[in-house]
Amino acid sequence: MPGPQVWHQWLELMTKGLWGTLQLSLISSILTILFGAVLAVLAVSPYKIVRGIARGWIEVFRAIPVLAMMILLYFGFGPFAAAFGINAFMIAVVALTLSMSAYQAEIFRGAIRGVPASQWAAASSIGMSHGMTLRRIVVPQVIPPLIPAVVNIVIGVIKLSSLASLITVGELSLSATQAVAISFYPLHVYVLLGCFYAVLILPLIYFSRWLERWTQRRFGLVSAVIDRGLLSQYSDAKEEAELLEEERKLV
Amino acid sequence: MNFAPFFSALGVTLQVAIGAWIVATIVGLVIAGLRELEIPIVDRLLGFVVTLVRATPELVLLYIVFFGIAYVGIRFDAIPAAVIALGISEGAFVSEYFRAAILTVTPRQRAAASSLGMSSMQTFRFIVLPQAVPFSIPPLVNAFVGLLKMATLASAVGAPELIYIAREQMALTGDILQIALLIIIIYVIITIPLTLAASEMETRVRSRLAAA
Repeated sequence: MPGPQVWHQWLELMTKGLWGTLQLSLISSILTILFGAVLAVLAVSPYKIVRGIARGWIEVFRAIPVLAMMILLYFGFGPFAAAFGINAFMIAVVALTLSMSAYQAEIFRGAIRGVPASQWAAASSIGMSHGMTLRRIVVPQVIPPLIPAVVNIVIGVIKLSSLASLITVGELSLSATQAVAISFYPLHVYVLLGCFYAVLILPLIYFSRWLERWTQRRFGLVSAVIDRGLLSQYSDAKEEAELLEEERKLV
Repeated sequence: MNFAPFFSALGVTLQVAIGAWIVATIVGLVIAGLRELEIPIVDRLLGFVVTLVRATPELVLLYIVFFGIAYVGIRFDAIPAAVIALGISEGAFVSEYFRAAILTVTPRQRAAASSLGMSSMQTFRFIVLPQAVPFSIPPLVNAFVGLLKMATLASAVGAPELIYIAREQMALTGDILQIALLIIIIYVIITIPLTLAASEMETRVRSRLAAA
């Protein structure tokens, strides 16, 4: 069993790493949410070309693994990185944002498409443009059920930010690897690392579940209609089943 | 450009993804099955374990399996370690898919089956299972796609999968752009058809449910 001095050293290292993880996750999450929302709007554009390009973009960036993007960019830029003023942190942010915003856009697009076509028709019959319908009719309805999905995106960003350690970004996982290097206790250190992530992520998981139930209660029927488009993997099994139940009643 | 190393690398990626998928399905089935028994303590405990696994980055699980467990004397090679770690990680999600699929069969149907004199085993086998299985297939396909992408993590413990070889070849040949493009094309070609097939199946299964 490692002594208290060793633990102290680890905790010092990992607190430093924690800041890196928080910075990386926060910046990537904000960029992901903004860029993902823009992508989703483009993906439901009335112009076929814009829609096609946006959907193609979403499919391609969902297909490329985050780590592949990080490593290809990092080792691809390699010698030129310094000349362009690019560092590993930026590459990690770019890779996380490109990947997660594509996921988010797909979820948002599903929610937007869940709004019945009759509402679009009704809006256009009273002379509303596409943009206006989106702003005034569609977006206000899809925002409440999408809030838990956004929290889940943030959870995904934090989990995937651990991969940045593989391109030398100073964050939690890299700190843990350093801690293993200076004192050879891999099991202790990596379990401790898992605890750090759990402390960050568990509250978010429970928060997202609570939000899901809350939006369900508060905006009940609306979200039952719209959640049809949400990825099943992002909602708790039981709630998913309840949603399906709701849907059945609606049909 | 020499494609040979990429072929064997793709083989390693597929090996990790398929292996982890099998492990995930087994782990998911066992967890979902145990939770279906509806023993409160078991259910709550497993529920927490699933949440805990979902809160742990895949890389951390991989490090625990590869480096951590080696410390107590059980040594795995890179590929089996990745199969186990990714399998457990995805298994937590898969158990939820199975539960969701089982829950799509309404209590009303179970009640109807028991009123016809069917035992709970019979109800499960003839009423629940046939309806739940189609529901769990699309998410299982999506899980496989996720694992194909997560298989890149195996490079972190030295398994010669696609990204590992890409990095090596980049350093060796300097054909940075071609290699990057090749890797992107490989992932796009494998995953997009699977994703599209899964969403197609999902639409069909759901419309069947809506029709029922």
